[in-house]
Amino acid sequence: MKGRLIENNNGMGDFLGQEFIVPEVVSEAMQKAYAQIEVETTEKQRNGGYRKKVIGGVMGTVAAAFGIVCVVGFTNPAMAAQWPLIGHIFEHLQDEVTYSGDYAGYAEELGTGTEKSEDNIYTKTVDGVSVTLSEIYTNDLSMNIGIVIKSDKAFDETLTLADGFSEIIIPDMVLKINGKEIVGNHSLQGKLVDDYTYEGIMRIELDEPVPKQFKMELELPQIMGGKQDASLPEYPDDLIAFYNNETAKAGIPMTMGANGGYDDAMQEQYNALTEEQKEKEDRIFSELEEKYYERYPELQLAYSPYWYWSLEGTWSYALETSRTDDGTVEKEVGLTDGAGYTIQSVKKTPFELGITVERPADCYYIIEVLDRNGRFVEWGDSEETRAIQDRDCSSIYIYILDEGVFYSIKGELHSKEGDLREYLEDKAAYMQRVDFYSTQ
Amino acid sequence: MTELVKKALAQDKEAFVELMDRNALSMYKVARGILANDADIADAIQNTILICFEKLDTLKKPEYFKTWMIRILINECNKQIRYYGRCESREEFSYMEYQDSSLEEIEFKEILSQIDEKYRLVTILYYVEGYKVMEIAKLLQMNPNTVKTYLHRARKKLAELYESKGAHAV
Repeated sequence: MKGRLIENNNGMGDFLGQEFIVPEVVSEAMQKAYAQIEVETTEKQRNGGYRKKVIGGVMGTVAAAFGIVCVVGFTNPAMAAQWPLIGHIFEHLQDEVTYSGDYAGYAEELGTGTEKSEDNIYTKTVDGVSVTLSEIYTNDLSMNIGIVIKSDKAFDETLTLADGFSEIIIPDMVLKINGKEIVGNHSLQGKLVDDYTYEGIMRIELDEPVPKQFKMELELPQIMGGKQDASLPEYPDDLIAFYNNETAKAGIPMTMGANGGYDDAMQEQYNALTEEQKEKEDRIFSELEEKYYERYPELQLAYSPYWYWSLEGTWSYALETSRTDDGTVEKEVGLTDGAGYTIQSVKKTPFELGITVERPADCYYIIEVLDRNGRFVEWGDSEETRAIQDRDCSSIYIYILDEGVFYSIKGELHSKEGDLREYLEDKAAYMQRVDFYSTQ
Repeated sequence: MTELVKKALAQDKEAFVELMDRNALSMYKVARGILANDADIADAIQNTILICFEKLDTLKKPEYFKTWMIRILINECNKQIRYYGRCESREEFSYMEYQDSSLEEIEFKEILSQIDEKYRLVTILYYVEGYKVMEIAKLLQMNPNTVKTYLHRARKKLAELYESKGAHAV
């Protein structure tokens, strides 16, 4: 056990990442905070003003802040020429996205199916960057749009996240359906086809079903990507001199080179220091950092140009489209703890499960779902939205677990293979099977 | 999680409470990366919840809720340090924290206590919360080199400790 901790970085995570219930003193403090919120909001509602003010602020901010996280993977650029992109985005990506499955027959192709050289209602170009809405599929739970972004200039390399995807953000995106702004959970998963082209599927969760036929308006004011290699300013000469002077004055045998930062040589020097010297060096290094960030305040911006590349729009679209009900079925569930917590219904589309839950304030339950064969159905955007993927969800098993129980088995549960029905039946507070295609 | 954030943004108090409850352990661990005792942590988390509720309208994107919340929490923890200073007396309560604690909690605290204070937060964010070096650098407004250095030192410190004690401890 100890050896694993030393040798394997994940070992540290295993120890520090263990689940447990927070200490009682913390739990009590949280309850106090909730009680205080309750009192204050009640008072402010009574006095007027507060709630109105907050609602205005929230809605204004959220409507203007419809950000997108785009996860993009790399592929062989040589393949790009072989791929007619427009009209085939789902075909290319449907096996890799979270909500995987066969979208043929569901996704509606927008436009002619050929790459477009000029702007039209599906393709808009701003400063050499064209964004094409290629295909769309909307069901009761989500809107899914195939998107191609092409640039005359090569994109900067985009930050690759731990899951192998890269990060693109579209801040302040606005989506309207029949003129009404939609605030929803959203993601864009896709691939860098070549240095100039991204293709991706944007998914927007819908809180409520859209009309059968509707007008969609979409505005993308800006496209940003996390830089793969953020190039921060080097420590300026005067700050390096500050560090070297301070360490010299303190009798600490450490010298920062012209390039700044901690290199291997400095690490060796540090390791050889006494504990007292290390403490002094830490203080000097902290002072250096404070001066550095004072010198470059833009480093502290949420979307600092040091961290993100950006393309300026706006790319605006307005088009008529429709909801597809094929393969969507809803079942009433009515699974309840008898005290107000109720799983009311489950909606199943070809790609996702949407669970409607009524939760009293003091309920601490977590839902888990197994497929017809007892296999775990992956979490999608949330506990209530599951990605069907390759599971047989013609019937599902829904389990309600006490939060404490869930966290005590979470790691084990999510790593288990095979039929988990017996395992969960033993752990769950409540359980129900749902057959989507039975008439009962 | 994002669903809950959306509901909370729409003034759903129950959703907000659930959101904070679900993040309770994350908040606790991050706070433990800065503060040495549970009483201070409780105060910091209580303040964090109140600030999050009050300032929720400043959250630009629901998917960044957790990072936003952690940033507030870190500020509140730092305020606790400034308020109390690094008084040794606050540490005296530590032995009481082990009463009624689960084995997991005790092990977490003991492992963390082996890491120098300065490196704890970075270690928690990296190994527990799963942030990458660059993300931690952004969150804590640190140079990525510094983050790497801290992680290196934390690992090294633990390795040294276990090498010196390992023969007896294993």
